[in-house]
Amino acid sequence: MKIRSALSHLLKKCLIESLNADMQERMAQDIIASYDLRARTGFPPNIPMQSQTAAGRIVDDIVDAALVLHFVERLARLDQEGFMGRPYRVSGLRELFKQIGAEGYLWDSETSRFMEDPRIRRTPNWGRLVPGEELWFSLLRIDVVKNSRLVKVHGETAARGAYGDLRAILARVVERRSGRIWSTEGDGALAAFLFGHSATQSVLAGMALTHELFMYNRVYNKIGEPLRVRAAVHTGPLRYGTDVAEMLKQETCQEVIEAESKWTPPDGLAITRAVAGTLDRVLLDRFASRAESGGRALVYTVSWGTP
Amino acid sequence: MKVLVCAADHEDKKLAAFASRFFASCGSAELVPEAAFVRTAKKKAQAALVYFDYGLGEKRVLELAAKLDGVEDSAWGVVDRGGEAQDPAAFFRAGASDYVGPALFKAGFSPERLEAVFAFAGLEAAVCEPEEDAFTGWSEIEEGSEVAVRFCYAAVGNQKWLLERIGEKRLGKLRDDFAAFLESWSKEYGGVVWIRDNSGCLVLFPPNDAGMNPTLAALRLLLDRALIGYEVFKLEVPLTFRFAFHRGHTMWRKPGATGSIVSEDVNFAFHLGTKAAGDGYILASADAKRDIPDCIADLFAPAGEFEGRSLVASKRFKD
Repeated sequence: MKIRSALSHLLKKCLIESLNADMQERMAQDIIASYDLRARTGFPPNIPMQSQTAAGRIVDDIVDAALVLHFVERLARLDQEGFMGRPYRVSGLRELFKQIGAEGYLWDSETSRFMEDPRIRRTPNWGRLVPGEELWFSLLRIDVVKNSRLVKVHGETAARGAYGDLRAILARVVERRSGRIWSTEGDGALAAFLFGHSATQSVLAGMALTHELFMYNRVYNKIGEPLRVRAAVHTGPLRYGTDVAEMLKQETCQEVIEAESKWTPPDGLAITRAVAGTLDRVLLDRFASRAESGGRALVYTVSWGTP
Repeated sequence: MKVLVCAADHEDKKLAAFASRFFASCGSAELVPEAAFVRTAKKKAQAALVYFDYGLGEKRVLELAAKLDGVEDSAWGVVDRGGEAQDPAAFFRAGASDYVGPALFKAGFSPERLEAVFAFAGLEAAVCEPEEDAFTGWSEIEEGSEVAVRFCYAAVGNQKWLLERIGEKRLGKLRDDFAAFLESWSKEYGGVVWIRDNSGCLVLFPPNDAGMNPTLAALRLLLDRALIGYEVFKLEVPLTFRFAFHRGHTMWRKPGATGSIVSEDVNFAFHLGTKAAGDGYILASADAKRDIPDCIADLFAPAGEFEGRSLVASKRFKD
């Protein structure tokens, strides 16, 4: 996020009017671990620091570290919850939110975080994640069933066309629910959800995907046989990075890959117990346990009932 | 001669409606996803005017347009509904024959304009002969005249059960919300919510498809019922729908002014929806059977007779 000087000035003004130097430093330490204001300014420990001096240094450092959104979120939490039992009022928060909104960010009240406005841009890190940041994500993993056979029988061009359609469908169901596609390499894809009730959003996206493919195979599919996909959702902590291959080595990614490859039938959507535990009953009731998973996953499929 | 609209997504409803609304009466119009277009460009674009959605990206539009080089009797244009192109004239320098900006996209354009575009492109000009009975919009129909239409009775399903679970007040609100939902849903396919009764709505669709086929769209709603219940209506209980389709004639009156209509087909459509249709599937009269697209025809089976007319019913999705 490019920080305009007006926003930077406003942030400094908020700090000066609301918090003393020590409290400003405490807030900065929540965003940049082991942040040392004295070391940064060269002020000796025995000389009191003015609020203006602290705010100037901290905001400049926060801007340099590209952590302005994180810092404002922390101030918003301070304003709402106080600190160590003491209430704090951060003046000018409303104006800060307004300016950040003008930069193309929306406030997500579910997670108390800013996310990029999808009407303006859609980037894999929602315009705000920084590499190394560990957060609770929900992941939707999909894989095309018998991909190599599809290529062999129908040719690479036809298969590539079908995968292009699949990617368009996936983008639609994922981005509509504030998710982001992190990888579409080969015959698989990985999408991540962070905002709103992320586990529910990822399950809804997975269900929508199975529906879209049902219709696609009946109406639009030109390759002569159904495009079949396995999908799975898992939720857990993940350290964000720009190298998806590296992220895939983390446990949460490994679990969603395992759920997709081992426990999901073709055309099905599997959810792990971690996801199931967070779902509303009306959605959870659509899933059935699957013996093959040893109780570790529940599965949703589109099927026909009695007339 | 035909018109193709190439977009990133086959589910781009606004573009589909655009294609149907502005081109359907002037010959064949089709929304083609980018991936399919790339595969079949040489064949599909023969004797065609191809509109590329600017949403594909300017560079991609020019790449796709280049695929038309050497294709017999083809021309291309750009649909820029958001007015994002910085220099629309650049398309003409690259060989385009038309540019549809936001105002034109919204307002639509006449067969005469399309004819002028064909002429400018050097394509056969005599392409815009609307069919005599082509549907030109509900507002164009003269009050009191008889029209051929497709009827669709649509209602929230399981209403007795819902009454017990969510109470009368919320069920009433759900019916209102569903009617509002149907307004926008049917509009996408050229339809209009015509008459509302205590439990559902009678929707009219034009005799020919304008965008997605309404029966297919209804099946889509049944498929998505859990998502719609949760995401659209914010329900904590399961939701389903019921649909009944019939094809026939009626005297046209605007929605809200239908009290004086006496029509056998309107009565039948209402009876079909309120007395014969069931929850979670589509019921269609023999007259509406021909409107069921081939791609879902195998999901329908004979379902006996009602008021002397034979019926077909779709399978139900499992809950």
